[in-house]
Amino acid sequence: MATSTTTSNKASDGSRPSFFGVRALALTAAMLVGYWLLISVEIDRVNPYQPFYENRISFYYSKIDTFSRITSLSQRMTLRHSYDYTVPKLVSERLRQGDVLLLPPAAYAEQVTRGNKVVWTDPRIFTYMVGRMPMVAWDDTARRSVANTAILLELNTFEIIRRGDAPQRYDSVVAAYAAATSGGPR
Amino acid sequence: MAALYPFVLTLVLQWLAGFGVMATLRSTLPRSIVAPIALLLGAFLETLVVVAVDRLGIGLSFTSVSLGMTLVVLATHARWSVVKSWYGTLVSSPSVSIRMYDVVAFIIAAYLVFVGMWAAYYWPVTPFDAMAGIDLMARQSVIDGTLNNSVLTDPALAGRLSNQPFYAPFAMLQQVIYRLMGWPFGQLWLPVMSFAFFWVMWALFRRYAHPFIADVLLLLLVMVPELHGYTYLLQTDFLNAVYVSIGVIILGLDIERRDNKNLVIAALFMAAGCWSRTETIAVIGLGMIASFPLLRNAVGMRKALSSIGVVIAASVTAFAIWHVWYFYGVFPVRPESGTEIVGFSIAKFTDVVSATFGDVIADMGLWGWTMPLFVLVLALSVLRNKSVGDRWLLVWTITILLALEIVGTLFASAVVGQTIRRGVFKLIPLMYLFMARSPVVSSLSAALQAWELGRGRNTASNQRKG
Repeated sequence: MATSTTTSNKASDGSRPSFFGVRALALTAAMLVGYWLLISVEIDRVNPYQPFYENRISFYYSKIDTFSRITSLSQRMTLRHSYDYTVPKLVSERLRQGDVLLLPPAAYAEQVTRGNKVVWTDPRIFTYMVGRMPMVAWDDTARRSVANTAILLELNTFEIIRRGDAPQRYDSVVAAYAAATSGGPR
Repeated sequence: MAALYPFVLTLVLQWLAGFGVMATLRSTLPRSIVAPIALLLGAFLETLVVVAVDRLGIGLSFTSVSLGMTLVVLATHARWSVVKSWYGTLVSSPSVSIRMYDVVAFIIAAYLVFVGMWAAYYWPVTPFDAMAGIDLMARQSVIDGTLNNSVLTDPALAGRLSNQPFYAPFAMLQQVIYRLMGWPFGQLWLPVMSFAFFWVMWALFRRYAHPFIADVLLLLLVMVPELHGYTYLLQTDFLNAVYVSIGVIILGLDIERRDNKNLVIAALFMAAGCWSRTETIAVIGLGMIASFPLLRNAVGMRKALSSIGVVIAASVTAFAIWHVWYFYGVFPVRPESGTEIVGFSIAKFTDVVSATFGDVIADMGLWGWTMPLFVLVLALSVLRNKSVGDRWLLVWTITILLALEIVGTLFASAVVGQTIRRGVFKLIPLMYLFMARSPVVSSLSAALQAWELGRGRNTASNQRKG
């Protein structure tokens, strides 16, 4: 950084602009007006700061009081991740000793979210949300036979289907998983 | 709030470790940036402590990591006579002149940073990459007490980990440190780092430009939409930008004085950059080569070569600890990174460059007015002052951009709209500092100071030079 000159912000004779001087006041007013214009004047493709402020800063700030009343970690996870948190949580609570869960393909889960993207079917996300547990990813064809528990998803609810308890229903759920994927059963 | 005391203790230890390193190395950095630089340095050192504790087979816990950090603090203060005299210089009476608009700018910036701080504290980890990668690793490392955790051997995840859990570990280790403190989502290190980073940038702007212009630049920097988002969203890129850009700036400050007294500190920051994103080693390598003529002109051939050697050695060490030692000596599995690399093709390079400029650089929704202002200031400097301005910052800005394009061409998984977009973070601080140091802003600063003092411009200018 050797090429440009250094500008000191104070005069070498010790004289400094007054804190409350008229010119200091004018510059302060200019800063406030400039800032206000940036965050409030909406000019598409010219002022990117207004939408930034509106969508992030102002939005969050206006919600801080409301959100601050919601202190439980679980509620905060639900607010943020919706079914990507609630489904793994509820499913994991209902699993029993010996259950090995077959995670459905995302395409199957997206049938009940009206096409909204689902990530909880990814074993990494399932593990992230509720911790490690016996499960098999849908595309893990080598280990699919190890699974003995599937999730039957319906709008706003789900059912745990165990192969040992209801083999035909289990097979039909797995068939529904296969049908939901574009490639069919693998 | 039980995590508050560990948080305060950790910050104190990080700060002391950073100060200790700077004192031992007899840092000559401007006093105005020493405190935030020390904090950032301490945060990096603590991640190395986590690795040391892990490799010594001591279970990861808040106590073990804090004790390790305490040893680092003691070790960095071992040469007490040197350290004491450095502290003495540091705390001698400061000469800060605060103006009314500084207070206003500070309040606005603090408000903007606070909102990000609150979001980082309140919201759970959100980005998919983080949940499937660095925070998945961090969470399990805290549960298992080791970085070589059971996520890596879980049959349910075998072959499905992808490369996210294996990202360069700085952000993951920060998550480990903050989760060990008891913060349920970690993440609070992000606002701590953004606070320190904006502090450094503000102090540097004030060093080169009139305080009013420095304040405006600070506010524009804080309000860069995309950058602000990542002061509370858990990813590796903001962290990477902070360390790489500050490393470049520290080297530049040395060159300004035609010495390399802060070389090791700069090298540590560059190493921290490689510790936060894998491809940074290529960015730093290219940057050091491209800036070599400027280094040589400033400090001579011998010191220039030693500078490159020290920076590259530190960066390679940081890279190797994770990508060689951990991948091949510790972890039972590793990503297939080799398959990610595809041959260089001019056609793809052209596509990547075109997409970068068309979809990323030109998008004001991402960078605010940064890009047009940068071009305007550069053009005005050339036309009006017959000077490009700060060549050091310009060379690094261009080289980092070029390196990102090469990475985007060579790596199959590098997506312009994601990888390069977030890689551009590294350019932003350099661009704003470039503007602060430009001849145009220098002239503007002189005019503004003359006006503010109610004197003729030449008088004020002469006074500053005096």
